[in-house]
Amino acid sequence: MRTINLLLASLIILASSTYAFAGGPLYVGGKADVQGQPYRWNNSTPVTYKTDLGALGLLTKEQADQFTADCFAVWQNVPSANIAFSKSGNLSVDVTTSNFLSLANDPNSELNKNTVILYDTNGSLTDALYGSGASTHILGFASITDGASDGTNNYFRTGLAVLNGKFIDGVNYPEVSLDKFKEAFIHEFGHLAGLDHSQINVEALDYPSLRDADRLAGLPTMFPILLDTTPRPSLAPDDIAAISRLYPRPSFATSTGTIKGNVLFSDGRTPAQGVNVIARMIDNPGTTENESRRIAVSSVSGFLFTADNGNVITGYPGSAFGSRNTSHIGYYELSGLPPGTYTVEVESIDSRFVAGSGVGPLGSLGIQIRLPGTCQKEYLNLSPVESATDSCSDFSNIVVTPGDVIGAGTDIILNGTPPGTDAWESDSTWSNDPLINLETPGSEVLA
Amino acid sequence: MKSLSFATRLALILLLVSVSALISCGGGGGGGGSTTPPPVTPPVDTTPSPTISAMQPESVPAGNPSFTLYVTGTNFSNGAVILWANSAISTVYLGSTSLSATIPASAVATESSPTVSVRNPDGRVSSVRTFSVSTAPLNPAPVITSLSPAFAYVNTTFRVIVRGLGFRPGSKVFWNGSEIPSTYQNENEIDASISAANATIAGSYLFSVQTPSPGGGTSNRASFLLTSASPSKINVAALHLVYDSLRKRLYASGAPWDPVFRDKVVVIDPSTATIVTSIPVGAGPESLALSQDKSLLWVGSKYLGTIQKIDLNTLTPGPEMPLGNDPQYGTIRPVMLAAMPGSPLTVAVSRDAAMVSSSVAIYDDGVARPNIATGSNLPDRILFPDTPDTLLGSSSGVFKKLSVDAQGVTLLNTNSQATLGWYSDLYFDSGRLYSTFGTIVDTSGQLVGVLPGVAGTGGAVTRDVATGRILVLNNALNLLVYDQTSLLPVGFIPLAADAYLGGHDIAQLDSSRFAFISNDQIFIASGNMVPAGSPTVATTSLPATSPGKIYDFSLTSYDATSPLSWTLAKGSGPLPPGLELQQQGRIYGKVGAINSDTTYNFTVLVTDSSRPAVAATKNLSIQVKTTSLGSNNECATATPISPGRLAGSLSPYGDIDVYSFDGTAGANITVETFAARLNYQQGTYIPDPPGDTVIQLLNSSCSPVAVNDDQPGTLDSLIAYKLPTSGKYYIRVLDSRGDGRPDFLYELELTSK
Repeated sequence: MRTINLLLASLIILASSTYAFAGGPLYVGGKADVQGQPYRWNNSTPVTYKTDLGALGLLTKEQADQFTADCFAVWQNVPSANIAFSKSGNLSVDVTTSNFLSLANDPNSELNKNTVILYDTNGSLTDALYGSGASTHILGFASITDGASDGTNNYFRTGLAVLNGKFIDGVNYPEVSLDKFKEAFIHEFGHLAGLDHSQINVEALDYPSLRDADRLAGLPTMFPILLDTTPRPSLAPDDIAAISRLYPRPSFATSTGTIKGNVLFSDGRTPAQGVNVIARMIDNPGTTENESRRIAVSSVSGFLFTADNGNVITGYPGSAFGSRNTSHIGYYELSGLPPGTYTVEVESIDSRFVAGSGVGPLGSLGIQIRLPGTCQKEYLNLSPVESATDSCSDFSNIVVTPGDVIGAGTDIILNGTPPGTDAWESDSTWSNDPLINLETPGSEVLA
Repeated sequence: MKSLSFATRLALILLLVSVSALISCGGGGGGGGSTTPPPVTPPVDTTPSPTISAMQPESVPAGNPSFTLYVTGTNFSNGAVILWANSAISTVYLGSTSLSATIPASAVATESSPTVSVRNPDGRVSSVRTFSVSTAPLNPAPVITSLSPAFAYVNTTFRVIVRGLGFRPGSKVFWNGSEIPSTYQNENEIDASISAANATIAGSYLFSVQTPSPGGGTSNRASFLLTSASPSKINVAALHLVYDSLRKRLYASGAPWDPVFRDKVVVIDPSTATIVTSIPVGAGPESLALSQDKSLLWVGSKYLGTIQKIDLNTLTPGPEMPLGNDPQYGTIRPVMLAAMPGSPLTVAVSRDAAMVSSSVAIYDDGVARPNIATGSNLPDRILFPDTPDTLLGSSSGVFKKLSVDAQGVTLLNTNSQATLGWYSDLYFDSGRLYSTFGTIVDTSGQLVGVLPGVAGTGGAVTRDVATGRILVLNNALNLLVYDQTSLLPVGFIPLAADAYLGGHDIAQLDSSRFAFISNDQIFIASGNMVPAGSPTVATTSLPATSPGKIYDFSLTSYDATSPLSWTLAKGSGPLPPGLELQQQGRIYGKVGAINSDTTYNFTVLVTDSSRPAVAATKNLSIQVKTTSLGSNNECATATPISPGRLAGSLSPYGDIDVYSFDGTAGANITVETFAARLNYQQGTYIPDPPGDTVIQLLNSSCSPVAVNDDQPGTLDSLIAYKLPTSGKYYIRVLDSRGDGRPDFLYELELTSK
């Protein structure tokens, strides 16, 4: 069987910029915003959107609208999340290659004043934007196109999604089932909701033999690559936790637990950004399923922190997004954990997950780092305390009960990393620096 | 309500381009009515125009992505634009001497030579420089690995094959900085020719190769020796020679097989390499000894078993004086002679009979003193160490010492285990006995040093009276030159490329000429006493550190043949605890615990790979502080360094590392970081390293004079700069994103020539 892994482009206009944030929220407030607060929709009312006039492959306009609503419904049906989407009407024109740019360049156009869902009937718009032939491997893309901070909240204002009908036009090649197409646009609408990519069970990417039912159940819908599997119409625990963090119902905090802390270098105090942290429920031998692969939640250390603070020499001011609070550099937060017993592990983010497929704060810069230190994978090991000298494979079982917020002793100290300062400076100099007085960020960040 | 929308943030970038475009329109408006203005004297405009002295980079390959262009010069104003092919591009003002601008990919999409100038807001425009956008791939930096031959003689036209790596058809060869004709052969070989007109002065010369951009650069420099002349050969078959510095004459004992000069002492004028005269002496003259006052030449004849003196003022030989007979072995024959200091008529003679009975005796004008040292362990090679009461020598390569008095000579028990080498020549100076075996002993026979790279047999050793250097003639007829104090080799002189292997009886004639015997032939050769290839330790100081730190600084040297070998010199003080000097020059280790601030003084020895090796030493020190080192985030607290390569890290977050060094006006320096490339060098490929260095060079006022983010082909940074003034300079290193973390490791290399 030929394997085709399809690219899920999350961005269009911003794809090459450094604005994308990841590891949970897609955007995090920067210097001009409420710093460290993820951008999200104002969920006091349903998020409204308008749809394109054209058809979508074999789907009529009406069928396409229903398809869109079904995709949004997957997110709004998460019980612990309070987010709803509602179609407010149709665009006045069928957006095609002939009018897309003029509409995009007009700040007062429908395209820029609304959240819009475009139906690229035959892939021509995708080709026009991404290059000839792109429509054969990009199913679609989505992006936030406007947002603002009012000093209290960072809110999205408009968004855009393009669905490539070439994949469902009944003509090979390319062609996917409507259910697979839906899986893709649940993913894209997750971006519209404000979610970034995430990485769990990454081994399934390169090893089809590891795409077992357990791993696929735990594989996030927000995984950067659409794997050639049977359609997965439902969300993984990681997706549910992510959407619920952004739009929590009161039950979210009381029915699930949280493990949070910092990923630190071996000195036990210097934070490490860009490390993937995963809480996995330990396997229950009483079931036939492997819960450790199915029930897992991830967070990328430093997901709230800027990936680009700028440079005083060149004068480049850095990214407009991301916190400058250095207590966020190594911070991870694994909230939305169903009650149970967990292990917490750290790993590298796959080096291919960059740019439009980026995961974590560094991904959008085209950077992924190897897990610092001497371990390929490492665990939170509290026996007796987490240290830089424990075995890479030693771990602790952490019991999470509803409402738990476990944040003591949960800093993960990487083994075998270099000292916090080089030979020409003193640690004592920066130990008093408030930049590295690590404190676990308050819950207000995500409230 | 504050509202900075995502779209607005995008628009800001677009707006910047728009503003830039407006500026590029230039011109001033003005306007207003038009009546004939009264004539006025225009004010003298003293506002200086901008100038450009350098660009980084100066070229990129066609199709290069958008990149940052750094322009260095003078009189830049805030708001200046770069005119790229006459189109204005807005800049980031980095000070009056430095600007940067983002050059879009579209500007370098195809091969071209766009002009670059700077225009200040007042309209003044700098001179124009030309940028190169080439379709050719980047040329590699050339490297010279060897020269063939490695030396030549003055006043000759010769050809040198320059061998190395990364040569290109456009590569040029330079001889001490001047381009010379060359022919590209292949990427590993270029033929260069040097005309006699360019080779008139003996000495050390440096070859280098320059490859043009894109990429390219200047190679390392390889030393080449230009010697004064090929050796002159005197048409005499001789066994030994001595030099009379008073009369500037050589005296040689003619070999029995020389049909003309057998049984004669030949007098030679070395300045003309001509034979002045010959003096008939007893049959079979061999060993010679010149009296200290240069009045007499003593001649020993094994054939006859006699010694004989020659009056050098009259060149008249005296009578043949037999050494006597051994009761058992018969005729006693002279092996070597040594003239007693202060007593021209007295000579010490090492003797044998039938080649088995050895002895040493003192003769006063041919009359032996009564006490004669006899036995089987007596030296055959003897000399007076500047005093008449002692004889030093070697027997079968073992040090021997004898006392001399009015009664004769007595062998002393020195218990010396020093080996001076079989058939070694010996030379005494300032309390030390040098051997051609390389060993050096004091007058007690205790080993006090070794001349590295000498060990052998035979040969000759002497001392250059002008420079104090010890000269050793080895079997390859290279004259090895050593510093008499440090005992380090400082070079070598190939004396006789067309002579035979093996030589002895060297005599220095003047500051650059030598006479010696090889295969019974007398040669007179010239050589520069300070030959090429002497390495210079570029590192002059080392940064301080504190206990527990991982110290990592690599020493550098130039004008030497790589690879270099570093070690602590003999007698050096220790490095700080925990540190070691690795062979490649890296001082590395975790600084051990100490109780108080301590400065460790030590001497490093670097030896290059030339044959024979050339070496140099340097006194250095490392201060280990028990108190805080502070931070080096700004000029005021910069870490002092000197040329070399250090390992540092940009950590913690937002770290800026500032280093200072003392620069000399006119020095060409390079400052380069290795961060992205470290991953390759350490064998671990990481596609996206965590850091991207940016470096800045600042003057003594902490004002920037040059800056670089990325050099072609890598995220690492490079600044090449000619220092305009002497004084303190600073180097700032930071991450392009303002990041910092312990695994953001970099190495910083500073060179200065």
